[in-house]
Amino acid sequence: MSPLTTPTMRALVAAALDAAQAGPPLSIPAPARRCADALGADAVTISLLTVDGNTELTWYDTTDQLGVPLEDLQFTLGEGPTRDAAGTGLPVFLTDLAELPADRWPEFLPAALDLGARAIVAVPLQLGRIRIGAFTLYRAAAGPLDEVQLGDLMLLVDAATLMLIDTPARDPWHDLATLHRAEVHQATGIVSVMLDIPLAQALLRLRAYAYRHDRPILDTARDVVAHRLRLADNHREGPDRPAN
Amino acid sequence: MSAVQREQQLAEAFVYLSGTLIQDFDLLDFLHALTDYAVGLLEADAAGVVLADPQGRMVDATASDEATRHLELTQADWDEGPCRDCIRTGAGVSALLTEPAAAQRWPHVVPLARRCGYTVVSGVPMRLRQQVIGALNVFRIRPRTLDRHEQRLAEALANTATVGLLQQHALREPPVLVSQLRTALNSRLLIEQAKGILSEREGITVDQAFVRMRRYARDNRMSLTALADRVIAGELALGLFSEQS
Repeated sequence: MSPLTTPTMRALVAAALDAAQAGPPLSIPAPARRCADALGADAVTISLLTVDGNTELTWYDTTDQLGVPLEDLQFTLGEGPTRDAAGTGLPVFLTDLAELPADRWPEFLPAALDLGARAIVAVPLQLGRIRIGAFTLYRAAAGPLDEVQLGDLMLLVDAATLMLIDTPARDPWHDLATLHRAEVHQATGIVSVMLDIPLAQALLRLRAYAYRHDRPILDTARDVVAHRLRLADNHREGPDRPAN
Repeated sequence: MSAVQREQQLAEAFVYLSGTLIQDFDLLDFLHALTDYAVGLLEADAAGVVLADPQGRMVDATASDEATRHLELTQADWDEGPCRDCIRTGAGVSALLTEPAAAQRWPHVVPLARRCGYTVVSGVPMRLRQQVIGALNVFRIRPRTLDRHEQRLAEALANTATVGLLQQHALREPPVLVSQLRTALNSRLLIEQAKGILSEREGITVDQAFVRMRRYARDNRMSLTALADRVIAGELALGLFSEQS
């Protein structure tokens, strides 16, 4: 194990690796909050690549007000460091978002600054050429990681990859609770029936609605699931509207 | 090198050496990169790597330049030198080549190293738990041994490269687990989508839709994923999910 890691992180990872053996698939039994603290970060997240090339947030802290909304925003916009790292397999080190050219991610950057993020590091999770997803670290302060934080980060990323690929496969319904955007996919199904369009298009419609109305994708999806919102058929009806 | 440039280079080194970036793994490229990073980050004039087989015999060597590679091969030929000692003991070494003790310890390697102009050598093992797979040497012309911080950085580079190498080795096995992972995530998305489809078609809540899907899957000895697939494809008739079925 790298000597440039902290005892705190080594203990976290060791405990998580033990717990992962008995846990459900797709799980990383290390609390994201404590990992973020150990890395001197304000939030850490793991998003996995889906077969259609989107990223799905699967590991996060439930009280996280920075990383989770920014992961959702990247999902909505289809741009951002997590998507780049996961999709290209190249890490993204952003030491100061305020210094980046605005056209790097025209929609994501201002929103990230608005939410209070100044530094982001996104490291791909992959085995050789097989891309799995990305580990993303969010910080409210600008500046690079120091050597020890970098060592801790790589240790955690390696361990997370191991935990993800090395847990026993089970029936997926055992583990539905951790899927952060479950309602988005339920709403996708609803919209596809409502408008008689394929699932991929239905998801695009949801993302477009959230973007156009400047609303979190999850809120939009929850409204659809609760029948508070119906998306309009482009050809036959007027604009999207709240349900009566 | 500014602090930011240095952090950037460190970041690059760790990410590359951990193996996560490598698309088409080539052992020589990888070891070359390790020696280049070692030279750049440790203010060294040259670096070399020797790999050992499970019996501890040195089997392969590479270095940041040809003269140093020759020096590493000499260590293998004479079975002596800082790399050899690292591999044998699993511990780091650091020595001033100008001191008589060094020439006594490594009688063939030290004169050759001096002819290259080196006065300082440091070696760290490439080790994962009990397994020593090789060693990294760095050489300096200026007579300054690595300080504690530099020594730790050398160890970190060697350790990261070791994990990267072993990961590449493990990759030669078919990655069944990765496809299982992808399938598990995809199954969950399919199930969520099917819940939505069913709820909209039947005019029920998504929770009720899930209860019906589970019951139908159980009654028909079908996996929930297979059922979700058929719901999405529209292959199951509406009535199948009524309360009575």
